[in-house]
Amino acid sequence: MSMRLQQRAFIYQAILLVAFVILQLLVFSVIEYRDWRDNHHEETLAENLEEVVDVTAMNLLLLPLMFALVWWFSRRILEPVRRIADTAAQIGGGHFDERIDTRRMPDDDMRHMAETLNAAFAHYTSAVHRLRRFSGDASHQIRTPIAAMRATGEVAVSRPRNAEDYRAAIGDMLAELERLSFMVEQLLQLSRLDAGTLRERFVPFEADVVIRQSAQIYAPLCEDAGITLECQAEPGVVVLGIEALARELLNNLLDNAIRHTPRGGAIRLGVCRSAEGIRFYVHDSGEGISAEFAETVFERFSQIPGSRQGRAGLGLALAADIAAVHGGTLVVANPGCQGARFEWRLPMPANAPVFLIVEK
Amino acid sequence: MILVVEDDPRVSSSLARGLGEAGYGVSVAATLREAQAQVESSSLALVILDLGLPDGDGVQVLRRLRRDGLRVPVIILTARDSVVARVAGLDEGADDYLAKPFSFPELLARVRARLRTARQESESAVLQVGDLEIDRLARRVRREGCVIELTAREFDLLAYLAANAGFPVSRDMLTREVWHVASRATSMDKIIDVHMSHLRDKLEGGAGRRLIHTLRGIGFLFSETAP
Repeated sequence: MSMRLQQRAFIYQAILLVAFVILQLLVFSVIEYRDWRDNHHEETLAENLEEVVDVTAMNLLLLPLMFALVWWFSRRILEPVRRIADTAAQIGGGHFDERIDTRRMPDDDMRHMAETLNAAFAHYTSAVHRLRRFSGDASHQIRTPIAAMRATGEVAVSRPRNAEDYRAAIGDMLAELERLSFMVEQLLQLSRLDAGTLRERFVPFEADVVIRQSAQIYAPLCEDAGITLECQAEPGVVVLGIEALARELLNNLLDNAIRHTPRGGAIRLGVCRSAEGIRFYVHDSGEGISAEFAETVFERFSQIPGSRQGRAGLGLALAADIAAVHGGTLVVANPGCQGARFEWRLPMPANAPVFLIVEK
Repeated sequence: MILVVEDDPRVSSSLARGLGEAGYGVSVAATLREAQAQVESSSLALVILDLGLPDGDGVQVLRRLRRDGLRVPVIILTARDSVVARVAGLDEGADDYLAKPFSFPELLARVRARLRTARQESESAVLQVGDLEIDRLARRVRREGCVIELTAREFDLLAYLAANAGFPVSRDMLTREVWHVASRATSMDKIIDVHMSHLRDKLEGGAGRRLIHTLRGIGFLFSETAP
């Protein structure tokens, strides 16, 4: 493709060159002719036109050189196009980590295009990687409840039983099915976040309201588990995003915190403004998360070692993805310390819409 | 008569059986054409409508009903659960929307609610189940004449269970209708269980009979008699 483009560029420029040479000769001839006429035929016309012949010869000699130069320039200018096409072909062939080499490109429109394309490639590559990991993990996790359901059903019908036994078997299967549906729901939620078109639905909401709602939902559970829940929500913090997702993020963090906090412990939940932006946090008094696991804890289907309950391990992955969708990050703020502190850090947008507080 | 428009034979036969056992007359249509024919010929009390039909979009049934000026309640049932699809369905004049996978108790609760609204039945403020009296206006609960103190959430929970007395209620339903948490990806099970156990302690704490029964794999049942 780029080859043909280069040929076309060359042909256009070559035509221009030839046209220029012909025009030059014509003009030159006319000038020489008028010179000869005005000078009252001191020399013969042939003598006068000799110079034109010289110029023509010179032009004919130079023309191949010019052609070569034109070829070389068009090749050079279109070189990035070929590189882009090659890279795209490689990515299309499954080499998702290939990128257009922009280091030697001059800082021009072409480089800008290459960089834009690289950003697009990176976006899709990460989506592809996530999708691959997703399907790998998901197939494993989904098989387990299916196997359980199948075994329960098969055993139940293998010989005659009384109604109570059948009811128990169906109940077990339904319980397993519920586990499966919950997991599928979480996975679908994750894939919807991956799609990355949520930004269009962002609206400003008040952070302290979300914090208080989550605290209210989880308070009875904490009470039951003998955990103190402290809520420290700074009022007037406005976040641009999707409130329902923010609530889900906090709920998942709280869910996790309650599971890792012993009886008599405490969980602190809150939001505050810092120099860098907005910070939501959930701080429990459990064992904490070692530096080693501070990263992997957000991966799908990861299990915190010593976790009390064998769950699918999607809650924190979901929370991290929600944080990312909002342009922030979810981190373990104190790896290796006693009592894990999860922070959702949201950079304050440059045009912080303070007036929105009034507007609301 | 309830019309079930659903192309998957297993889903439609369980729906038909479940609704039949709940005392409703049911007819089933598996294609858009069948559905259109049924809509014309029979008088319907309610339509349960799947959108993805083999010969077209189920929304056309809904459009036709509304164009003909029929106010039959329509509950859309579909695997497309995005917000856009939901809004589109409701915009076309659907009364309710349930995303697959749905729980049958939830569908049944919605069918009851829609039929009630269609009949303009007003829900009375005071519900009476056995020796339990629930005043939904005053938000007060009495058992054998004694007032039982409940938190706001416990009251909502009890009111919802009692409104569906005799029918199973799933945790999914409670998540949405009592806690108003829309996303099913948030695990509410433990929270519901904690409230449920508190509510039970308060209601059945004395020598009172069991009122809230746990149905394994389904959820809960509010009833005077054991299931």
